[in-house]
Amino acid sequence: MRVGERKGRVMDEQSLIQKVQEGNLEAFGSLMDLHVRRLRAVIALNAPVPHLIDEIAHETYVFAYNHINDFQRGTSFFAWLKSIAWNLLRAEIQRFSREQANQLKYAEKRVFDAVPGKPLEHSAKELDGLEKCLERVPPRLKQLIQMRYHLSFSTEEIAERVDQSAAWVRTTLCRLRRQLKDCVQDKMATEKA
Amino acid sequence: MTDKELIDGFLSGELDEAGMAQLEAELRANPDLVRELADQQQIEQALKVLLGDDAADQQVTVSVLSVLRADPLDSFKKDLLAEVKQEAEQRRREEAAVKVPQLPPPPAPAPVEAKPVLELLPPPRAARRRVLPWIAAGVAAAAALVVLGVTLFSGVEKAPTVDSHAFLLSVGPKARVRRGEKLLPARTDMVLEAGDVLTIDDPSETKIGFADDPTRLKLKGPAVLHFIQGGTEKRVELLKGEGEMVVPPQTQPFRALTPHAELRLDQGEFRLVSAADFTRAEMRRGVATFTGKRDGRSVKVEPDHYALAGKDVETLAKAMGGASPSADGPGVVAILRRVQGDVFLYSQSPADRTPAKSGQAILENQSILTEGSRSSLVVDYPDHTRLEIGGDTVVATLTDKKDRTLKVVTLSQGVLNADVSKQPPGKSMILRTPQAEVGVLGTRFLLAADKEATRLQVEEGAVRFTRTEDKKSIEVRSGFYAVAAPGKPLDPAPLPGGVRYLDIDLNSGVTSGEGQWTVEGRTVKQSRVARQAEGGLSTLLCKADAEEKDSMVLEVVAEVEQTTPDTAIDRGTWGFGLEAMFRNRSVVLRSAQGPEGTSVFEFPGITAIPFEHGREGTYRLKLSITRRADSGGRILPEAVLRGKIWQGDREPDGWMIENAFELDGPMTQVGLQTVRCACTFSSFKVKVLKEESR
Repeated sequence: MRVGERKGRVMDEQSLIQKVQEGNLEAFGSLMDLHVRRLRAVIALNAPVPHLIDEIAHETYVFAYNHINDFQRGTSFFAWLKSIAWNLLRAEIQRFSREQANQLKYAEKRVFDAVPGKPLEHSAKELDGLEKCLERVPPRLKQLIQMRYHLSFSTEEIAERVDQSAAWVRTTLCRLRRQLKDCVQDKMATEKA
Repeated sequence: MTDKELIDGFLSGELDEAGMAQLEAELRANPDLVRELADQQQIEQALKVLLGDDAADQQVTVSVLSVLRADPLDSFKKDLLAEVKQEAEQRRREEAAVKVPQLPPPPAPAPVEAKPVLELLPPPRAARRRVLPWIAAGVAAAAALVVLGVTLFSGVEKAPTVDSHAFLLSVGPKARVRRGEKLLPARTDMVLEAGDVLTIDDPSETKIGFADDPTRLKLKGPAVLHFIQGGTEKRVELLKGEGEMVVPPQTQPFRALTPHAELRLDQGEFRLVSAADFTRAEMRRGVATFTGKRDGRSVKVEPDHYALAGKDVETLAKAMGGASPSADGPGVVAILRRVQGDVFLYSQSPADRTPAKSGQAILENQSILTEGSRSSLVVDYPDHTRLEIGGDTVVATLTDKKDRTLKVVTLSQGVLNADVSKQPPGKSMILRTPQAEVGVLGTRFLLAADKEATRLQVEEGAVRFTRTEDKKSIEVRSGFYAVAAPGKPLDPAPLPGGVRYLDIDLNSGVTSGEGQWTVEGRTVKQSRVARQAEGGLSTLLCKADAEEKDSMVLEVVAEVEQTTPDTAIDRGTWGFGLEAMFRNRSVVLRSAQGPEGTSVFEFPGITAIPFEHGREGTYRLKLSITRRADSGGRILPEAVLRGKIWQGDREPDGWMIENAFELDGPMTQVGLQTVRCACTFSSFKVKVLKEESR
């Protein structure tokens, strides 16, 4: 994003927040549009089960609207959303682990138990890192990623299009995700250093 | 499949049952894989969000806005209704004052012109947050409410024109509206016009409100609803699916039609199920009249009652959830446990079903139905045979119709896991599906059936599998599966990545010490602590049919449900262990609690304390046996034996014991040992993780 765009967006955001604080619900719709994708992505990096992503995003916005007068204009709205989401996610994970985890399949349960709680601020940096790392994926592999995540093709459909076996597609995607994870961790470690 | 393929298959939701079983086995055996899977899932989720189309973003935005809009409308209506009531009360008081006979007639009032209804609206309010977008709908609703209020409180016979529309309060992602020839995507706030047909293709929920009052319908997809009309004579037709409906007081009965029945009520709350063969209405509040279309019979349905009508069902009304028979009552064949989700029992037709509860007894003529992939239950027979029944499953029978002691399970569709206790000679348990029959004397297996095929997957022991079509019969052993389907070969095949279990017969075990072991199905109870025996040891060893292999890795799993240390003596350490017996050697790995809260492993040279000893939980003993060969390839009596024991799912790295022994022959027995305590164990099994011969 260019500096001019970012500045324009911030100004838009501040005027939208003012309108929402004056009771304009439609302005809140536009405000949501500005952040919904990144908020969901940050939650996705922390949610132990996929369906919590949209649930938490939904609850975050409802809470934000009902407490919009508590928001201090001039500060970062996205940071405020993240802190709401973080609190909701923690509470939801506790509730979920009490009520639902016993209904999960074994593998889901193990993943649920293994996902560590980390501040969403950390995940926001991870997300920035992930976007940068994605830019470095070679075109042929990027094509795989597009087919899986943008076009929602099944493994068989991808295999047919790239003229490889389904096993190759699965293995390659698995390696690719591992490389992305390592790349993100390297970036964060470098930034920290 | 490799670990990477398994992980990707899991994340993409493309793993079949065998793949899932393999992944679970890998996760149990390899704790690092859990971390990897969690990492991969997070990246997967983030990529899906970042690179996916904006449908999910929009869904979040729409759902938030619909929630934020719904609240002020409700409170707006509430305020308005209160004001209308006040107006009506005022008017009634004025009219009563006019009718007082003793008073002289008042001067003739000036003619009052009929005022437009909207004039009864409250005076303009201060601008309120969140009301603006709802001005249009609010005005319409206000007008309708005012009319309703005037009708209710002033006794006016006929209501003026009211808004006869309905509108969508929230919509599922795959909801559509057919209006005449047009097919429109359903949206929140969309108006439903008379004649519209709403179709929901997925299992999501769609809510409908009416413009003139707070009547609410909540449809659970997949469903098809024909909106016939709103207003004072509301009529809807539920062509398919189920819905919950809340109806406030009506001037004309609310009518809900289905292909098999019609329900009329003045007010109340009910759930309506419209299936291909039947209609079922469950009343929660209010009284309704329910008329079956086939026999034209009408029945009254009161709260906590349900009514049925259908193709093969006589129209009737019954109380919901009748008294459950006692566990040892006449006709009881099993007890239901761990009931989760939508689980029902029925006698003649799935239409005539009642919700099942944990602890409830099931009678010989009753069938089981589970709806939804996450619904499940456990059926316990008196002999400890256990069926774990999965989602979207129909089990039509549990016993033979003539001989209740003979277990005949009819799996019409779905999936079940059977853990069958040893059956009496000549009384094999039989499981029937549309394509096959399974005969079993005692073992563990999974059976899944649909319209086209039946799949049998044997975990432990051996099972006779017969295809109904041509009576071809095969034996399927532990670690193998077979599929019965018309025109397909009926052969056992090894489970890809599957796990084999050794045949263990707990009932034919030998004991030492004075522990008094008793076996009930898969549960082993030790009712008395061995005091006289050396060191307070008590052992139960059972025959284990392990073949002699050059190398073998076994995992013994036992669920320790209860432990009671002996408090009658001044004891030392107490605990329990798992024991493997070879012809000439016994290997015991024991976990024990020290006398003053210290923990010890009772084998030499081991000081690690990876868990709290002597307590309830899942314990695992892993044994690796690697035999050596001489230069001519002949197996030597000496073998390297490694072992470790742990509690829970997190396997410790490395081995706790590692020694070269002379082991004569294969492992012959495996069992449980206690030290100065009494324990109850269940789910005792021996998994073969690896076996190789040159």
